[in-house]
Amino acid sequence: MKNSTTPTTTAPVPAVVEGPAPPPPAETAAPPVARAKRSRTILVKLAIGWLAVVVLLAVFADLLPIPGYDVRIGRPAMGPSWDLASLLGTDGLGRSTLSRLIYGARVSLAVGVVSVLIGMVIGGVLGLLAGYLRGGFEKVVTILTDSLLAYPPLVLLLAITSTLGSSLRSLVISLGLLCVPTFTRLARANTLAFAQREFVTASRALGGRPLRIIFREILPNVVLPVASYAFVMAAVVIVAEGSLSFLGLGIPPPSPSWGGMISAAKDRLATQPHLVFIPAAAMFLTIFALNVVGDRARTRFDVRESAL
Amino acid sequence: MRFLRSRGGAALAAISAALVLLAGCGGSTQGGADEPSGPPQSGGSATFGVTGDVSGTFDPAKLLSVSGTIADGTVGSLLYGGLVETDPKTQQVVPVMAKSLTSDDGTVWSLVLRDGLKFSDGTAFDAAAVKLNWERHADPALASGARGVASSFASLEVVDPTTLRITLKDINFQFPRSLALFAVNWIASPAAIRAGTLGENPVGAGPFLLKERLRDDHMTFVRNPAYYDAPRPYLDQVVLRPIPDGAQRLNSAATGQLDGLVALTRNDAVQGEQQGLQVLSVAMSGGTSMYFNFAKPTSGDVRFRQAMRLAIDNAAVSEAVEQGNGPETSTFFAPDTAFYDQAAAFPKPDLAAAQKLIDEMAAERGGPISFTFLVDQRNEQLGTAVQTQLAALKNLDMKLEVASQFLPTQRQASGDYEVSVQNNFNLDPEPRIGLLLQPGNARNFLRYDNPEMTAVMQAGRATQDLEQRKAAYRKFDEIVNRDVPWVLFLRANPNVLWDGSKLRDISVFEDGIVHWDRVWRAGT
Amino acid sequence: MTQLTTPTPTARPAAAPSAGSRAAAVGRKLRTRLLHIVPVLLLVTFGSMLLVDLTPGDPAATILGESATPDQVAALRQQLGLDRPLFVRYGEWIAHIAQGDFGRSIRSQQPVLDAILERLPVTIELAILAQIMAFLVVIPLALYTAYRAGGRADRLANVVTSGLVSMPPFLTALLLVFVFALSLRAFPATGWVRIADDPLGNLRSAFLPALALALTELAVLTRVLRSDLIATLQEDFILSAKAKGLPTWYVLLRHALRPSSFSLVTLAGLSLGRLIGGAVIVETLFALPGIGQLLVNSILAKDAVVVQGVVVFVAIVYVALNVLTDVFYTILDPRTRVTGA
Repeated sequence: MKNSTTPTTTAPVPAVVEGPAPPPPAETAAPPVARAKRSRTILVKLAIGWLAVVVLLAVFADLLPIPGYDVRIGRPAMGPSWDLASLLGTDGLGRSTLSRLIYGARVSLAVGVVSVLIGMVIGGVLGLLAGYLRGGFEKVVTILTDSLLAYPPLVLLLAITSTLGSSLRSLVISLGLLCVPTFTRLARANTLAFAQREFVTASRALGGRPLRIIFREILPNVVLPVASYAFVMAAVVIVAEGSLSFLGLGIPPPSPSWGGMISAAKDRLATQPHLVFIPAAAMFLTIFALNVVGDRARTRFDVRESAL
Repeated sequence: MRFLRSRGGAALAAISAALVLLAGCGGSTQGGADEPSGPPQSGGSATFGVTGDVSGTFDPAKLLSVSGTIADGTVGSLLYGGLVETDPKTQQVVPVMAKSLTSDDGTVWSLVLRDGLKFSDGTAFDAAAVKLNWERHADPALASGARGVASSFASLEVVDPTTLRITLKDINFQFPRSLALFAVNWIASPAAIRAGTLGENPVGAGPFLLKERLRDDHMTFVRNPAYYDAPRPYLDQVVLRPIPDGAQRLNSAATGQLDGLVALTRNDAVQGEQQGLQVLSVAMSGGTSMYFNFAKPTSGDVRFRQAMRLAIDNAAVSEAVEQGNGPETSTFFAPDTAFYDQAAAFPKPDLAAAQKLIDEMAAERGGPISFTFLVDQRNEQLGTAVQTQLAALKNLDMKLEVASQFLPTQRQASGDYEVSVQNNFNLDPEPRIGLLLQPGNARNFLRYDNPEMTAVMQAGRATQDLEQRKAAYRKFDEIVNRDVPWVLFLRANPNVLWDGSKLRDISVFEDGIVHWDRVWRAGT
Repeated sequence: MTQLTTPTPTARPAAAPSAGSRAAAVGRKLRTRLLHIVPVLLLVTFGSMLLVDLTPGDPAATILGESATPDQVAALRQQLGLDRPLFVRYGEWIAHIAQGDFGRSIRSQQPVLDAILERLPVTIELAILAQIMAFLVVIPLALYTAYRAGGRADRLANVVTSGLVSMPPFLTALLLVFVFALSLRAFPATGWVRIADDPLGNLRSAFLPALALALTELAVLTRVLRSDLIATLQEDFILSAKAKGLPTWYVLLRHALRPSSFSLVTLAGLSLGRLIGGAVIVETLFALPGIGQLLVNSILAKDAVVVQGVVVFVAIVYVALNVLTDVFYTILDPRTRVTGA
């Protein structure tokens, strides 16, 4: 059941490209594997640690002894100093970079978690139904997902933003929409794999109603493999949010977001590079950690390939 | 680098009194920096970075104003030249394509054109052409930015092919300034107007002709061989590149894509200087200001506007936007200008007093005061800087709305805003500030109507005596500090930056439009 | 930009079809794809049209601002056809689009298709250059790392590609500007030189933006090609080729690369579409006159008709590219046979 050494000549192209990429087939080479595996485990632990820190800071931001993210604490663009408020210096308007980083994490995470959840629930249900019911319903769902995928993601985001205006709400809706097709495909593929299993056919033979079978028998088996993509999708969504903010179409100020912080400081890259590098590093590390954890989660839980 | 300063009283008196403006002195307004000059060489090309594309089309009625801070000013001057222009050094209006503009009583004006002017399509640039252009600006359906000026005419009469008699509805000794500042200064070929093709295929008598353009990317102009002032223009080609982001413009000059650029902040000018660029700045009164729409409940409340003035610390805004490099801004009129009065300083920042006013309003309305601050892309940093300062006030909630370059101005014109940002810098309070404060005028973006102010501004226009004008503007300062129709934050003197090893004889008029007909390229 | 791709919905058993059925298979494939694509196109275009309709409030009034005169609003409503039933309007709109009429810009009155077409060459050139740059790195890198899988170079490459994959494209682009344009002065920071005006200058102006796009692409492509290669390298025909004593590079290039490149081709075809999306960022950052910049500028200017036109244009191109890739893929892969999915 474990992931095979060769991820087939290329199964219908990984549903999520970028970040994830197909599971590394490192098992093919013998000797350095153990070392590689060990270093990967350490990497996964580090990644989980970083994500935990980011989540904790974001969740408990209000309890931390840091100034508000929209308050001026001193001169603009101060360098780091030994004082919590100005530990990472101030931004171009004299606001605490640390505060903005932490509250920005809150935005990034909120956007990441909520929109991925939306995508997972809607896409998951659609995919389950499509994979089990097949026939006309499956066709309709496929057309729907293919239509959503026909827009390059950033273009879709920009289009929705231009219509609904830029706010946290429209951002979460559009990013959620962006996640739907991926999860639909994942859920459908996994459902297809399980729908033929004995326990499902048995249940069907016993006269179980389709919805009951779907949600009682199939869902519990499909949840983990599908959910294992959530990390990678969260990374995708955070990058997308950052890109929008960078274009000035993300969350309106003064709410901080990492992309917005980078964008605001880009003119000072030559003179005060720390203003760009601090939020950039936070963003990079978070995406990297999500990708590492996501890769790991998928190799653990995604049984689809071998099952198909 | 140096600031251009007014020569003070004498010069100003001269403007109004200089009713006979001698032909041929068009070339006398050299505002150039000290650079090695030689005999101009013909040929070559210049690529110049501007702050955006034109706001509408190339039709003069769609070009906003004669200002170097927007592409419209440069483009209009390239294509159409100009009847008159203001020399920023002396603040004096001098004739260019006009021979003279004179009046005895400030109401009836006589405009005399140079002989033999021709549009690039070969048709005659005469008094009838000017009349046709001006009457067109008055058409409300066209929504011209110069409609305010065009509708101030009681009558236009063609006396002979080169003379137009203009009768104003009200006495205005500052009329030449209106002519210099608005699109009425740009005369297009009547044939092209009738053909209805002016917007895309402009035909004027300016030093350059439009060759091609790609919106938001570049506009290429080539030499007009029939330009009146031969052997000018010297350059074969001028390419304007709209780049809204100031830092991107500077970067482009640093990596050699631009030979020169417009910089809107002092900070950009300083950085450009460090890159080895030549800088020419125009010192002006007024500046980048927060505009209030008097027709809206929140911004119409004088307590709100006073609170804004008290809460916003110009030094902090300057620090955030131009790293503290800007000129000082404690008065409306800049030091060393004719109407400067140290005693007319804005109230000092006082957060407690501002909070008190806001609390009073909030108590009355039973909830916090919220408003939207509309800024254009170029002023986003300014918007967040203001937002950060206002965050210190309780019971106040400011939303920042960022729109593309011309949208805020359009919405200000149509009254679709609460609080916004606008440049009201000027070499003289007339005509810009006069129109801004005139009830019912299309340029009264504030919807401001205070009879006392109207009378003061009228008094400033109706005389050419400097002392009387000074007295009027002292009163103006007083009312501004009381009514707070705007909050001035930055001087934002426009700057022209260029690579001195490539371009020679750069001089400017108005607030910093390059005399492109005089510029030449070294080593061609 | 980190993106999702459209997987090609094919199940591919590994049995080779008889030579004669190839053409038939391709034809059948094309037919099923087209049958599928028509409803997708209808939905996509319908969704794009809704962009204007979904604007909160009266779209015409919202676009023009609150103080527009009723006449102006009525005129725009008419121009947008908002006074007619949705489906009638959709029919007309689609008919217009089929004739190349994407409407006119609200702000400049320029026909939207003209605006798109005069900018399209920039975006396409960027996408193609980025693809070439990516391939120049990907193919040798994947060949080497697959051949020495697990080796030091492989692990290093893995770390680097993981890092690249986690770099938001705007950050990559920003750093490239800083290093290569502002610090080293090796490339222009902004601007586009047309190929007709100056071919060398054109390459110079396109280099950094294309590199920024390529960097985000190449990590994914390397990983995909590498794992496919590893799979191929274990197959019998490779082992027998090696046994014949053919040089390694020859085996890798002649025997292993082609059968391993199917997913690469698919991804590359798809990424051309994705690069159009990614171009939004680089075109803004480098001030390039492509359709990404047109889209962003139109959004900021609230020019809904242009936004709509660009979106629907890009979506149609994207769908078309998908179909083409799919067909190409079918032709390329001898093992592909259509099974009723």
